[in-house]
Amino acid sequence: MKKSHDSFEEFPQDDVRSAIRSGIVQAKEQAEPPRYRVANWKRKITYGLCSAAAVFGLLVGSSYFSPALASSLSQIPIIGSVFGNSDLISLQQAQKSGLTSEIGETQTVDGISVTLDEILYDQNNITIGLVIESDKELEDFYFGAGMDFTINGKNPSGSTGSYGEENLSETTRTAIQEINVTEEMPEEFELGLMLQGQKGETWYFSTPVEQITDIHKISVQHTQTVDGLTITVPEMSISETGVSIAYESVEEETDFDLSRGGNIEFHVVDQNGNEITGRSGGASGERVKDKIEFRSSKQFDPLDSSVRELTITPYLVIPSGGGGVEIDENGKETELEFKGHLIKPVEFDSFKVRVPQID
Amino acid sequence: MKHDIQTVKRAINGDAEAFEELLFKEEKMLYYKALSYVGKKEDALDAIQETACNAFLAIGKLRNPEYFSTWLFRILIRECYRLLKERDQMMPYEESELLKRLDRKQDEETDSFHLSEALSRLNSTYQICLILFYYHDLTVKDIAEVTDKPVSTVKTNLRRARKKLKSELERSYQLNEKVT
Repeated sequence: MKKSHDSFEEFPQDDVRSAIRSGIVQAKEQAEPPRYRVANWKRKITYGLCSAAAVFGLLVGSSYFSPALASSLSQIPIIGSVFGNSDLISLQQAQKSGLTSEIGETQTVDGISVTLDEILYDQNNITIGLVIESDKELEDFYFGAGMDFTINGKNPSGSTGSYGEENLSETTRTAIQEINVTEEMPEEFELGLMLQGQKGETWYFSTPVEQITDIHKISVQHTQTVDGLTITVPEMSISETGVSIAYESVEEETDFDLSRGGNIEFHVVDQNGNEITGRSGGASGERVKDKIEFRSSKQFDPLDSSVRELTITPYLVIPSGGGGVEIDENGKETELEFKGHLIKPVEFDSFKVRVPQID
Repeated sequence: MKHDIQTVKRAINGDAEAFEELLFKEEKMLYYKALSYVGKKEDALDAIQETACNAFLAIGKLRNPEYFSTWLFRILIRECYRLLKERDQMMPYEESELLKRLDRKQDEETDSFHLSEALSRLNSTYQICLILFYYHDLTVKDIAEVTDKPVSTVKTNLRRARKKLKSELERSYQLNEKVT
């Protein structure tokens, strides 16, 4: 080996040892990937399940006594658009504006039909609407934590998202699967989807998806460091389906359970003090040497045309309880210790972003 | 062999502490070797981290514990090469050292200015071949392993690289003569 041009510098033993240790930890994580980690998926609450079932029961019951009502009911499709019926403003808006792609592909396995109803790919998420009909009543959480997916046939390196169901009757439910958009997703690609039932039944779908085009990016470039935690908001995206605030955080910490970057949320108000409602979004983090870096994009409801300026205040949500269970490939469960009470609180400054007029 | 064979065997059986101990013993060599390939401290540390990761994942397949060091440094060089390729960076070298080596194979003496100019005109595959072979003293077989190419391809590339370098050097001299 030739002598290095930097060999006269002092040998950085601590850095080298830290790189070696990080490499070993990385290898251990790769060798034993947790098959199922509850904490990684932010599940959504199943919406208004009882009320929907009650309304449906009432309608069916009334139609038994009134043939006229029964006749009119037969004209109304019980299930309209999954997005149109959802309680999320962004999805209703997207459906109304024709930004979603209607798929309508149905697959039936062991008496359970799963229909891929529609898909929306905006700046925040790929949102998938499903209609599930079965011959027999299915238990809650029959489909576990929701769908797995592939990008052009390849598994993504990591993903966050959510899955929620709405029961319309004992044998009919709709579901909304959200997959948070990451850098590795091209604007157009073949999305592979896999849903698994409790008894191992599997439904596969494959469909091309394309991101909506009217997404306006606003450069923000805001950085602040508080108590060793640096957050950077490089940009914001605005479209008809909502707003997303991208952020990156870097913190000198090696324990994921104590790191704060993944627990950052944003409080957003317009120039008149009206709050823009936020929706939860996952964050994915990685350890780089002695630091933990998080990247995420937080989602908010669409802005109305009167909004000219936003005041954004980052804040930390310290979990009050939690922990989790990690299950390895042999089914062995390891309880993950809850360390939320050890997380140090931090207060960030607000910053303002001017919203340009968009026609 | 400088490593305790029992420690290597423990590492082969998946003992992370034994593996860490082995790498700590090689820490200086790992760092300076990586630095000689990638040129920057931060890149050298990245290459070491990737090496530790990939070596730990693959050590179960190491059949001869006595070749642990050779095996480890092959992984390191491969990681350095991969990192440079990924970042689209050229492998750094000391001009005077490379010149000394190359001049032994050339009929006439070259100077540093003409060499770096001629080398920069070669495509990156040829440049890498020459640097790995003359500057880092890697054998054709080692280069084939690091760059993931067949030995015959590396031989051909080396032959063409030398030929091309010679003609580029001649061109560079002619051009400079015209200017002066």
